[in-house]
Amino acid sequence: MTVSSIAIVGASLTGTRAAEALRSQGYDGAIHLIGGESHEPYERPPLSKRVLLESTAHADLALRQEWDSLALDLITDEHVVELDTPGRRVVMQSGREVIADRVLLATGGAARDLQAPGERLTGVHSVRDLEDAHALRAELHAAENVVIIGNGFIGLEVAASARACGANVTVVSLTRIPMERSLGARWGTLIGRRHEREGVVMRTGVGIAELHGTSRVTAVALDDGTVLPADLVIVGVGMTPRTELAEQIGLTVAGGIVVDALGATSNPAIFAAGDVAVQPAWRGEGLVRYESFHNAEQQGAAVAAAMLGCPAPVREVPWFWSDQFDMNIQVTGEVQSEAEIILRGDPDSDAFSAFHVSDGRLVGAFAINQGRDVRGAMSLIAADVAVSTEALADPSVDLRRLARSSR
Amino acid sequence: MTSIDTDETGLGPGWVRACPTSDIDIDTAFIVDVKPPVAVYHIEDGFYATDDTCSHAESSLADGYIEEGWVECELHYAKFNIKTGAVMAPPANRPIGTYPVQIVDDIVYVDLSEHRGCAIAALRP
Repeated sequence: MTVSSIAIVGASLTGTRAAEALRSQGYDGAIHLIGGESHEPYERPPLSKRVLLESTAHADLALRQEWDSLALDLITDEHVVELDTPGRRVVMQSGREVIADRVLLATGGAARDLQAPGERLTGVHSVRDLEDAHALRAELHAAENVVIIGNGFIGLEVAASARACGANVTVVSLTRIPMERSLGARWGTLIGRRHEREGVVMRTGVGIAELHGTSRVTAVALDDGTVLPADLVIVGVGMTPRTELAEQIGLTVAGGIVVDALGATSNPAIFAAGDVAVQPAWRGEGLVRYESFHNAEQQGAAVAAAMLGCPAPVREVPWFWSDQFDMNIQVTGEVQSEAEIILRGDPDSDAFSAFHVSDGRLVGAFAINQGRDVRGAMSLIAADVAVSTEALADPSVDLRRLARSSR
Repeated sequence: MTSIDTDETGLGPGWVRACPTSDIDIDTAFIVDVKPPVAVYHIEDGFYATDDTCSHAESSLADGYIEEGWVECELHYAKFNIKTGAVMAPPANRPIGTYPVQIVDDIVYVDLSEHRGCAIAALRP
């Protein structure tokens, strides 16, 4: 069938990127981009960093400077409540409807609840959108004792921001190793040590009993009996993918909307991408939910091609960054295994990179303030060629040029 | 710090000497130490100059990766067209400025008075 109308549910990076890719592939039909927030789509990475430290306007964060050339029907402040697939109707909370031949679910996720008594007290925050970040910023600069619950990348980025504001910062987490899911044990441990060096108190392997306070939070009680005074609490314990619409119409859902490598769901008219999607791991077994800027951007572009029946762009090696203190942390590929690691520079220094090798091939890279090496590693991992350990260890070897010459 | 108000090069006010052409290998860049800094690139089609600071975060584009006429910032992989300054990949949302370049006797000169803001928001649609 001819596709003449596409609805994108979720107006953030994935949805915007998909809309841009639809246009660049020559699609000239209707695009309804529907978002629950009042703003045009914006970039979220600064919400835990720059937006907390500086005065930032929405325009600084907008994903585009101008929107007219995309010829979108951009619908803000609306939530889709029903997908009538036989009737091709996309129904919104206000009663408004659009007709769509294809629907992209790019609904992302909501901050996961702590599920501890007191989490609704004033002074308890999470960071998912611009309003959250502005509300947190208003309190952060006057806060004396900040407790952050969760040691994933959001928790640690906010910890770094809170230290920059001069607060006493404690990070409490059930998981023992910071950012272990993204960085693996070795590098997660290293980042945790950097935080301690910056004055952050890391309390790992302990849960939350309750939050104290009558209207505003005053303290965090841990399940080992410790009570931490707190005038500000940030909960960063992960996100819950917004899969309600997918469940309503009986799509396969397993910790996210299950899609193939192109973003197709179990219904041929419905696609999903970004934080809400669970997709085949880039290499290896199983299904993965990639919660990264890079995945949102890449999958948004790929799913646009799939919706039009065009060839998909080559899938890039997973890549992730986090900025904390004066560290630009980057990771690509697979860094969980520590079987063979080759270093460029000193891991105790301000800038170094590390390459994870398996069977003479590069499988992953981690770096602090050496993004070029990670970029080069992405190319080498994608090329899947044998790489000498000497070349990896030698700072004078530009890995991307090496990858180019091995094509 | 070079003053851009005087004619120090004989090419006219605003022109400054960057470096010999042989100092910039193909697909690399040289930083002209002015405020704000300017990057001079040697790409297949010749020499071009842009603002050196990424429009997204404080990072030097000359330290980035250069290929096929674009430069990619090493912090978050924002990509810009070297000739036009246009954004080619997020997270940047603003273009970078460009400057006229001249080669005289194998020396690269840049006209700092001709900062051309990029009118094209993006090469993407």
